[in-house]
Amino acid sequence: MATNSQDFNTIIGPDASFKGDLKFESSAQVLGKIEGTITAKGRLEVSGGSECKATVLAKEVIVEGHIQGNVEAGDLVELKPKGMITGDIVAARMSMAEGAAIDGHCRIGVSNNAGGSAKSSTEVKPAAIRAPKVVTT
Amino acid sequence: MVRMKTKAATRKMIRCYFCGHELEVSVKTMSTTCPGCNKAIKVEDVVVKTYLPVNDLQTCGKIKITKRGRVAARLLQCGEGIECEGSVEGEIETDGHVKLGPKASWKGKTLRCGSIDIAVGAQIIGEMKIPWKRPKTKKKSK
Repeated sequence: MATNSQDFNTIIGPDASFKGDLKFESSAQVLGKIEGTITAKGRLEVSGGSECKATVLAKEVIVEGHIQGNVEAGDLVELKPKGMITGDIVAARMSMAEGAAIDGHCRIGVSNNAGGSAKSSTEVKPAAIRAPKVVTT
Repeated sequence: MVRMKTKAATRKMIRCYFCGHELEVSVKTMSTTCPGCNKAIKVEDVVVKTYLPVNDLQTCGKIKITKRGRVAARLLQCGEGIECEGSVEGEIETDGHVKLGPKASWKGKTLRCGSIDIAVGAQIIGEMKIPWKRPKTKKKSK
C-alpha cells in the first residue's frame, strides 16, 4: 500500500486548486481542490482535507477526503475513516472503514461493468474486444 | 481467591421499526407491542437458510442470511444489522452494521445502514446511504 508521499509520482499540494481534466500515467496523491475530471492509470489517493468535485477514473481510488462526483475504479475503491463519496461508484471491490460515508448508486463486484471506462484507459481484456460477433452468411 | 461472577445482561434497548420509539425489553423477548405506536414488533433474530420470498422482513434484532439463504423482499428492516453470506434482493434499512460475505450479493433500490463491511467478492447493485440512522417519527396528536 502506498502510504508515503514518496510512493506517488505526482502530488497535488494542499494549497493548489485546479479546474479541468487531469490525467496521470501512474499513481497520484491529491491534497488540494480539483474540479473536473481525474484519470489515473494507477492508484489515486484523495487525502484528508482535500475536496474533489470531479469524475474520477482510476485503477485504485483511496479516499480520505471528499469526492463529489462519480467514481469508477478498475480494481478497488477504499474509503478511509473520514472519507466521503457523494456520487455513483463502480468498482470491482470496495472496502469501507467505520466513519466513512457514501451517498450514491453503487455497482460493486459486478464483472461485466465494474470499472468499465476506467479499465479501457488502463488495460483492455481480449474478451472485451471479442464481444461484438460478426455473423457471415 | 475471590471468584467474581459475571452477570450476563438481561435487558436490552430496542427501537421500534415503525415509529423509532425506544423501549427496554428482556433479551429473551421474541416479540412485543410498541408503546409508541401500539403495533406488534418482532424482537428475535431472524435466520434465513433457504429461499424466502416476503413482502417485508422486519425485526428489532439481527437478520442473518446463510450461504444458501436467499431473500426476495420489498423491504428489510432490522435494528441490530444484517449478516449476509447468501443473496438479498430488496431495500435495506438498519441502524446497525451490515456485513456482506465473500459470496454475498445485494440488489435493491436503497441500502441505508450505520456502517458496512464488504468482503472481496461481494456484489452490490443499488444506491447506498451510509451512515444512516432511523429518524424518530413524531407522535400524532389526538
